[in-house]
Amino acid sequence: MSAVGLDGLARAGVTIAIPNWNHELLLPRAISSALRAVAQLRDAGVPGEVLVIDEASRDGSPLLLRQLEALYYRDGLRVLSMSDTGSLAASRNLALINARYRYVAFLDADNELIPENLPTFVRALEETEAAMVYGNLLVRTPVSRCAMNLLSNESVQLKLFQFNYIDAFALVDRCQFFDLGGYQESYRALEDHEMWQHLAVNGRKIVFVPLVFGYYYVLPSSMGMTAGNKATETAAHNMRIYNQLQARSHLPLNTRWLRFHPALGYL
Amino acid sequence: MSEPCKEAEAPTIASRATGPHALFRALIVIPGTVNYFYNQSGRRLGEALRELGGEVDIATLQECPERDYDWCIFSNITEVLYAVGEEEGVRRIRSLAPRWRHTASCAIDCVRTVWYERIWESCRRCGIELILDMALCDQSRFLAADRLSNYRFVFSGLTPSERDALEELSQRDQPRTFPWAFVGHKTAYRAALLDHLLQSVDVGGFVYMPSPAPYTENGSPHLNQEKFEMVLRQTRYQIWCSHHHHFYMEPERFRASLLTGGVPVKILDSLDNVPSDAPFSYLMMSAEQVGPRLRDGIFQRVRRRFHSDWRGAPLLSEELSRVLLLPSAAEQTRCRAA
Repeated sequence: MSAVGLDGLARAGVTIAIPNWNHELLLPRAISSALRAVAQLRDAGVPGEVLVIDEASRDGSPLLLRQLEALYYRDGLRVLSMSDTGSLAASRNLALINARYRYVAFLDADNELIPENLPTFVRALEETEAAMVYGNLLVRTPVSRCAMNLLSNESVQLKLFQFNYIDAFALVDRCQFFDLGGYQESYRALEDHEMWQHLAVNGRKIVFVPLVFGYYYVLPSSMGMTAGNKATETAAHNMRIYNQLQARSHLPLNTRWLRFHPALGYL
Repeated sequence: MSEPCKEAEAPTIASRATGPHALFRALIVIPGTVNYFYNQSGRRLGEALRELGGEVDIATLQECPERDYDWCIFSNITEVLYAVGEEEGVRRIRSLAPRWRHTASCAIDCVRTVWYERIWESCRRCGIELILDMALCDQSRFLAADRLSNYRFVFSGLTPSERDALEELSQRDQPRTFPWAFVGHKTAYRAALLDHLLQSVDVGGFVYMPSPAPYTENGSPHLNQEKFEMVLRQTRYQIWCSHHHHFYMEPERFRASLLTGGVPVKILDSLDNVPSDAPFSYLMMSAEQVGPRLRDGIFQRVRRRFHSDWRGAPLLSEELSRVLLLPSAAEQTRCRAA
């Protein structure tokens, strides 16, 4: 896979990256929301694309994706197919390398963007020069008609070094992510939590925008639900790296309590 | 320590005030650093009492002057005790009480919640005579018989500065970024309501719903009043629901929207619970009604009606005069003329 995107690392615009592993039945919803978001961006004068990274799926996703790409290429849909199933972190890094544009919105294949709000998140990322901006995620089950919980609903606080409450479903500046080495590909769980702590302790800004970014669907067999012991071990590993002496509360943190909306500034 | 007085024994107009124009003297005791909400409430009370010609001191319990007062009002008693420590607070109140002719605590809570019950209990323990329910709707109908004697409904009307702010607001308007705003702690019900608002009203609403949890960091990681008002000034509809299922009209929410040029919308489980004499009933609705009723073109009309209704409502000073049997503003003017 050639790293063609690196030629335009700082090119203005947004790539909506969708890592997919065997989510054939849910992909159309994610892709549809992403394509509508690209349309909203273009109306706002911001170039955009949708980049699906298929992790060697076996369920029919590859066939579906070939058809969708043929239908929607001119609307900005591209598909990259991996030959092997790597980690989710590896897929995200691949998205960062191959994105056409500087800003990358990560959207899991079983989730859904709120297209109308993406331009505001783009403005927030530009104006704050943050490494990442994120917003409220409404949590639903596949059969529910309304949400039953909220994720990613608060700014970065010290408790982030105890547990993760910010999902990877967010908008990032890939230049800053590359500066810090991207996602840890050896991680099979909590790679996003590791990344947030890595950004925070390296002085980067992670900013909460008080809008709804998208819908997060909880599936019984999703990675977050089945991580189990692996997640526990990884959490302990993260604690060893980022908060071993529980001293984090005594150290400066550039990204504490950052909330921003372009119409209001920092709150 | 005096027992809570009954309606028939309501206090009379005091005449211990000093100074050429003061008709009475009042002390407002606020929590201080603990609770901005009740500090502000205390200042509002002070402003309204001054409008009635009173000489008013506002202080924390640790700092309150050892002087004679006609009225001592706590804003509110449980928060004041929490700020200084329960036992120390009760001890200090008992030592100062002989210098206060009458006492009261304000309350800004639904009377069917544990928070009001704590106020009642603290008043009993400290010998505070009255509970002033700073509300929009009389809650005495929801109280048990043994809780009625010291309850006084005080319509939380506007103070002089708030009236001025409302008039100034009417003369200038601005485009509003947010079609609606929802600020409050996260609950499952509120998450569902939020989803409904996105689907039925507009996806661009302002949403701040942190998880309820004790804050162990210095300072607060959440919106303060100043920031909240900044948001409301850019918002058409402030939408909320109570975190309990009793009927209650949060006066601070209604007034915050009023003074920032927006419109408050309270979501209720059931409209059957709304008393017939509740003001602003057109601003209370079920979740199903929200979508059809919040449309472009209606905002300006609803806001005009909301402003007009407030202007016709009793002022806070008028209500305090009525409940505490203080001279009204008209009587004050006559006294001065004489």
